[in-house]
Amino acid sequence: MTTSPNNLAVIKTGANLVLSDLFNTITKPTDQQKSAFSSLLEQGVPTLRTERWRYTVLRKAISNHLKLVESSTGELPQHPALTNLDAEKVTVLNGQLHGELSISGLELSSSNKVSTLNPLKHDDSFIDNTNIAFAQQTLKLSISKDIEKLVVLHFHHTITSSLLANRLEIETAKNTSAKILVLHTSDNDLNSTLIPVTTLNAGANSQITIINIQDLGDKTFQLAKTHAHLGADSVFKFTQLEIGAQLSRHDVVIDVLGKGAEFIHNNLLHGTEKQILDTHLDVYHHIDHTQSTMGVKAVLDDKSRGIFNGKIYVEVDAQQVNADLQNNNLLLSKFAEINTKPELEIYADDVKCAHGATVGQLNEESLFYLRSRGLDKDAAEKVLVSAFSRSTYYGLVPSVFEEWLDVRLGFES
Amino acid sequence: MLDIKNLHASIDNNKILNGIDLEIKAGEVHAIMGPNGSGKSTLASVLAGRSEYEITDGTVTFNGKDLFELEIEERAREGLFLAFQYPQEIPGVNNVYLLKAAVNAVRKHRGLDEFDAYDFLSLVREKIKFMEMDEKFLHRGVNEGFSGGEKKRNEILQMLMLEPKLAVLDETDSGLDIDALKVVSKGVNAMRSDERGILMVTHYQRLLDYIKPDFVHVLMNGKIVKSGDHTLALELEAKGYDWLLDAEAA
Ligand SMILES: Nc1ncnc2c1ncn2[C@@H]1O[C@H](COP(=O)(O)OP(=O)(O)OP(=O)(O)O)[C@@H](O)[C@H]1O
Ligand SMILES: [Mg+2]
Repeated sequence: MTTSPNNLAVIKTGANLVLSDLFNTITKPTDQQKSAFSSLLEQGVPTLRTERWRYTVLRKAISNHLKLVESSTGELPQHPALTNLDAEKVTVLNGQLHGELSISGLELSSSNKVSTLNPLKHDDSFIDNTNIAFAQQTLKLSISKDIEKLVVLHFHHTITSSLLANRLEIETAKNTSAKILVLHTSDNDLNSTLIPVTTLNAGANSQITIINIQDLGDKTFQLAKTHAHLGADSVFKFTQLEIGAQLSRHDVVIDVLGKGAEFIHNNLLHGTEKQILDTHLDVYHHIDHTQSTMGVKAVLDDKSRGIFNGKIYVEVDAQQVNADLQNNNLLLSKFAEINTKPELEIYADDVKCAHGATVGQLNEESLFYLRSRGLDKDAAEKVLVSAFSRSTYYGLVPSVFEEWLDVRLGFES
Repeated sequence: MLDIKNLHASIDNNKILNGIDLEIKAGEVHAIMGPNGSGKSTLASVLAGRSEYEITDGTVTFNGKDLFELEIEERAREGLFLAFQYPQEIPGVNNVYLLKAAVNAVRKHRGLDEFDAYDFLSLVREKIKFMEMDEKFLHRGVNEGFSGGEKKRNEILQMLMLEPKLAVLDETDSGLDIDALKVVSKGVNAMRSDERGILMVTHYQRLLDYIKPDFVHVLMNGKIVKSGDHTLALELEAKGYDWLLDAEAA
């Protein structure tokens, strides 16, 4: 055991012990890993008493069944939507990069050095610290030209009872554009915990789209973070679809740093059975003349639970900010639950910010109308649920993914 | 085709329909008139299967079947069509998608093959042209942001596509401009046939100039208080409804 006495003082709960034991199995942690781990222990694994974690129990996600991935084996996955997709594709299987991207203006490399984005106002670094402490390598994707073709990174995981931290750092040079689809999958029944972090450093006047599709196996845990710095006049379109996993916590932190920058976000939490889908979205407008538009929807069936915390923060000198955050939730079963909390924290006086949340069931009048036209109850319900959900991905993902999602979400057979 | 006997219905313990008797035979067109709140839309809703209403007495037979034994969608598939007084807006559901799903559900029930995309589109184009509607309405959300008159045209378009055996039109003429009234009437008249029944709820004699009914009924306080031929509508236009109440009380 190499845990320092200093750290022992804060090891109180099982989860902290689990992570310490795991960390000790890393043969040669880098200085960055060590320092991230000591910050992690200092703060401790969040408990239900931690405000930002009060609805999300980590006990099962971080327990002593976990081990680190030693060697990567397994067959490369064949995803139905990817086979017919015209794109530049690579696969990351159990943390190991397979394939390469060979387009000019785009470079993908693997490194053991982590570059963190300075979080400015944000102080919940649990996922970050855990990711850096346990990441075996960092994928760096630099974009130096306009990339016409869609770029796909498919993260797939097959090793049972493991903890795996993937890290993807994206950087776009000024005046560039790119569209990146990140797909996370794992085998069904895989009781592993995945800690993927994506960072984006968007250069001035760059236009970047990231489509993040989480379709992990039904026993898998995910603790994810997406953190972006937006330079002047950059546009970041972030589409997030949370479909699979037993528990998926996703922190999205956006620092809008350059004048004229814009953030556009669409998010769907699609829960069934006993899934827990938790998104914490924090958008910080640090500077004037910036914009953000966020539409977050949850469709929750059975005993699933959705958690959405969304905050728009406007710094004192950040005048002329336009920000809009809407959260609409559809509960399909009386056992499904949503905890939603959209917030504004505004220190500038000349801004236009709006937020709102709705929670509802299927509209009875609409159901009656559809049934009166001959659609059976099931079909009518499907039509209404799909109409509600599709706005989060139609026109935003490649059409083969629209079709795949329609089937995956049960709207089409 | 439709036989309503002694129909009583209430909602939240308020009696709305108080013993309606009405028989519609194939080929007939009936008009129901009556003051606001007399129960006209309630009758239409009960026929279509809206579940909020409690049927406290009476029977309705539709094509030999007990209507109340059928689910909402089964009634539609059996050939009952209700054009709503206030058609529901359903954002995000394509108008043409609903038309196709509806037509195919009815065809399937009738033992016919589902339409393929091509046949369906040609049919829908023909009907939408007949209703003098722009094709762009097909790709909008169902009734989403439609004007009052556009919604009514859309209801008739659905009726033309579904070819029901019995069409119940609840104030389909309300809110229509003069040209739209002609178009909607043209749509309804196109549906008139020996195999079909039509029940129209209206407040205005004007509609009956375009679609001449075989029978006119007056509904008051949840009961049909008088029936006659189309001249009854003219009489109502001239005299209002009060005299009927007095006559009934007498
Ligand atoms: N939920 C309810 N609770 C109580 N009364 C109701 C309820 N729903 C409808 N009613 C009443 O039932 C009566 C009949 O309404 P209905 O809509 O059938 O009238 P109508 O004849 O179609 O009127 P209009 O000509 O204005 O369309 C009205 O007095 C109405 O207020
Ligand atoms: Mg009415």
